Amino acid sequence: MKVTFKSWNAVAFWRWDMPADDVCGICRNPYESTCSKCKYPGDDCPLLVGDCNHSFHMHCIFSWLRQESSQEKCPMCRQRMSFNGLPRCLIQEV
Amino acid sequence: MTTSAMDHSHLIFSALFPVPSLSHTTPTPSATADLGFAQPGEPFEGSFVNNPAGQHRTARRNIAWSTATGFLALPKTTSDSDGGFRVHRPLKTQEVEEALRYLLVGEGKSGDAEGVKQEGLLEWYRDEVRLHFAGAVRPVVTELWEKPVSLQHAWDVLEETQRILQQDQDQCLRPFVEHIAPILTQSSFSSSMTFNANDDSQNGPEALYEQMQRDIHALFAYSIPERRFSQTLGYVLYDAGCNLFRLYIRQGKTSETGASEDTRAIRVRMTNLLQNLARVGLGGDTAQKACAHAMDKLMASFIESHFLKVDWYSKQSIVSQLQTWVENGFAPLVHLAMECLQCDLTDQETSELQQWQDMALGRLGRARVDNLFDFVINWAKSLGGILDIKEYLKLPDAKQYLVTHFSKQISRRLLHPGATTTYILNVYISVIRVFHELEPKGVLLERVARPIRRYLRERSDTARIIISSLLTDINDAQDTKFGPGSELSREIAREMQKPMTNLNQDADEDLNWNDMNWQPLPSDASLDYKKSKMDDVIWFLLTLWDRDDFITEMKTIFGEHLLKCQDPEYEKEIRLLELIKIRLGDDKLQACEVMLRDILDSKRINAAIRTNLTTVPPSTPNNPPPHTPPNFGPKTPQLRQTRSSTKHRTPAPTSVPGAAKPEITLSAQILSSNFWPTLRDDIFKIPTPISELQASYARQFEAIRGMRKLDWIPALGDTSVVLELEDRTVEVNATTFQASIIYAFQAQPGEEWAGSKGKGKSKSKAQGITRNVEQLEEMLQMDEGLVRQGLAFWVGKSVLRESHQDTFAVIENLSTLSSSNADDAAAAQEMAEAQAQAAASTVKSQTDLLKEKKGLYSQFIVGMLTNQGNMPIMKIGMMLKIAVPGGFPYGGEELKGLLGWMIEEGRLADLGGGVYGVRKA
Ligand SMILES: [Zn+2]
Ligand SMILES: [Zn+2]
Ligand SMILES: [Zn+2]
Repeated sequence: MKVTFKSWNAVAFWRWDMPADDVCGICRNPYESTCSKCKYPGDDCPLLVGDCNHSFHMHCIFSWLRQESSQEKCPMCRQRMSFNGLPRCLIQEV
Repeated sequence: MTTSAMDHSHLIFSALFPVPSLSHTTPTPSATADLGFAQPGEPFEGSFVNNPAGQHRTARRNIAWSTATGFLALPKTTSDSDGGFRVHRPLKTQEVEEALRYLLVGEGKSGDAEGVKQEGLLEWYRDEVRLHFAGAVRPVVTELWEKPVSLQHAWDVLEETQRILQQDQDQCLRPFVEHIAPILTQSSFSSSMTFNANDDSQNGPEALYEQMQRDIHALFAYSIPERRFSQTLGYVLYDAGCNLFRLYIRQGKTSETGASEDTRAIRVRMTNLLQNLARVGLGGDTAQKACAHAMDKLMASFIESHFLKVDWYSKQSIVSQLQTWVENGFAPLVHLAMECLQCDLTDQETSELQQWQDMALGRLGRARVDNLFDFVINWAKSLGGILDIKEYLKLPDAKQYLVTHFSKQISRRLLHPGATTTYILNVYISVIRVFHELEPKGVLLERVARPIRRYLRERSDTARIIISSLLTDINDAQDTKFGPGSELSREIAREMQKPMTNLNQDADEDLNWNDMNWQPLPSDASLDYKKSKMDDVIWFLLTLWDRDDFITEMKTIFGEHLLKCQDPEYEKEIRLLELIKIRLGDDKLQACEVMLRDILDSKRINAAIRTNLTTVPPSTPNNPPPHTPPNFGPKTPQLRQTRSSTKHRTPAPTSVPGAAKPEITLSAQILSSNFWPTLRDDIFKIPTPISELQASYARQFEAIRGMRKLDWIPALGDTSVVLELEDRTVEVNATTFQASIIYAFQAQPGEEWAGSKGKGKSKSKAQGITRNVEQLEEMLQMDEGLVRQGLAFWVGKSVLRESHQDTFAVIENLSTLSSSNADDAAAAQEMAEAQAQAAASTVKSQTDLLKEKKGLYSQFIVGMLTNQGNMPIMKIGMMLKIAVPGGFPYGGEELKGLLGWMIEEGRLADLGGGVYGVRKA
């Protein structure tokens, strides 16, 4: 007997290529879920990894940084928040 | 004037009644028998003063009495003169006339003689009538009425009774009219100057006549048993009515013909009887009640026979016909009957007609309501019956009657364990439609539907059936799909077919953007929340549960459905989500929306990646290009095929095995893990070519979607497998685990297989590759249970056979298959289909959870049956509940499934009659 497959329909979960399976430190939702404002996860609600190596939903960290009280610091480690060495004002324009 | 008249009469009297006649024996009232000679007393008024014969008054009165009473006497026995009727009244001589006059208006009239009250002639006559009736008539009447009157004699008995009484009444009243009244009239006329009018009217001849007639009527009435009379008369009227309205329901009645010419005769006969009964005083209360009762019964019979037939053809209400009948047929008859009975009808006529109309409608309506459940089931053919009920609901109390009785029908005929959830849902939908017709406001629906809704909520499969049905295409679903035992409701699917435009209108109404207080529908809001929703069946279904509960359920079912969905456009799925958003608001539907988006996105990603993938495996130049268009396209028709497809497929590739490596089309569904329900997560090794393809796919995915990776779920998905065997090629749609198992039956490097070249054909024919369960577990890293399920699937397809216990061989050549193998295959196919059903469920169900713990349960069962011997299933269930740590939270069906599985496993034996035992090795 010879077995061949004409077609194969597979199923997979996608995940962010992150070292640890964790939740967003701001909204407490899993990274693969959305921030509290978005409907769709993934490209619509992407992650941002800070230079301190903490990552958040982009929408979460932006609205955090917009607050005066955040002093533009990472909510997890209190380091100044930057992304690939760029200050956040540049990121926003990207 | 008066004096002279009295004198004159006295003169005549004395001339005719000479003294010797005193000794003549004639009927003498006893009251006067021992009167002595009259003493000189106070003078009487009027002529008495001048009466020359005063002192002989008593004697003279006695003579006159004898003469008068002798003349007026009535027979006292039935044997007297022809049954007591024909009286040979003696000739009325002058003497009689004188005596009468003397006793009635003369000095012998009555009153006190010497202080003793003397009986008057009128009083005597009344007694005489009474005695006569008791002696001569009552026995005859009694004979007619002493026994129950048989129906066929009812008319005769009444008519005969009436005849007898009429005759008697005439006989008794004639002497009064002919002999007594004229004297009184004359007297009262002549005395009208001196006596006051009051006195006159009380004692005048008319009043006396009426008094006498009343007396006689009372005698008559008391002589007939009231109940029996009333029943007999009632029957007669009912019978007349039946004839008049052509109702032939009396038992044994044969004359259906000639009814029309009878009609007039019957009307006349009835009219006469009633009028005559009234004439003898039998038309009073009793008769009227009997008549009313008969008419009521007549109406009931008429409605039953003529109107109970629902208009199934033109689907009209028959109420207007009924009203016409009441107005033109029934009411005139009742009126006629009552008129004959001399009831006063003048002022009630119109209001009575309305009463009869209401009565008729009430009867019809109640009869209809008693069948309402059947009308619901037969909606919309039953529209006529429903419209009748709608008319009936205008009556007071009708709504209460309907709610009470229909609720009883619902609980008896619908809400019981024997009814499938699909059936209950279908009936509920009909109830919604019927009640929308009956009462658009929805108050009644809310009341009658409450228990149905409660019951549906309690059933665990309700939501699944609703959602699956909403997602079923009624057009391409075969009829069997909606069969009685089906998990799909055609009615629900049909609702989904209704054009979206209506829904959008609803939506605009619901989501009134100007309404600042607008909120999503409260869960299970009172159903009159929105009257306009009354005919929105889907809304009723979606609001069965608390909104959050429903959406949780929806998420599971929707997810499972999407993974299996074969429609490349996902039209129904998109539509259902829209529909739910419109009706329930889009709050908390995120999971469903993400799942749908995942599936739609996957389709696009597949289109992008597959184009690249096809170049990965080495392919021969003359291989046909893949079916899928190279660019992003909305349609991927060849990709998702039915697992158990009945469609005819393109034949399998005929290329020689090994000559060219055929392409494999890999497509993937890429899911967002947090939004999908818990999915099957069995782990096993999929065929290497597939895992290579998957790795390649994943790489390309990562290239397209930066920062993302894929985790494959081997247990989910399906495949189209082509098996090239020695004598045949088989193409099968299988799940991934089934495909992986059959793939493992291919020859491994170094292994011989029957189809390979260079081997003696005689030997190869008999032998395909064999694998045992253990080997497969090892090779595939697969759970034993899943291995066995997969093996059963292939045995069912006649691809494998169990050559030894737990060892399976490829059937390279069907001619080698013995008939017992064929039987095995049939049995296995059956089993495999059942399993395929279970396996098809991609989401973990209660059954899956049971499977996870089945090791524990089965261990316990084997131990128990070993120690305690064979046991019926009931007891096994009980013992599990009591003795297993954590209990056994499943019902009989699940337990049966578990035991069935253990039998498959060869650990138990079904000993019949629900008794199980340990299988002896
Ligand atoms: Zn977040
Ligand atoms: Zn977001
Ligand atoms: Zn940090």
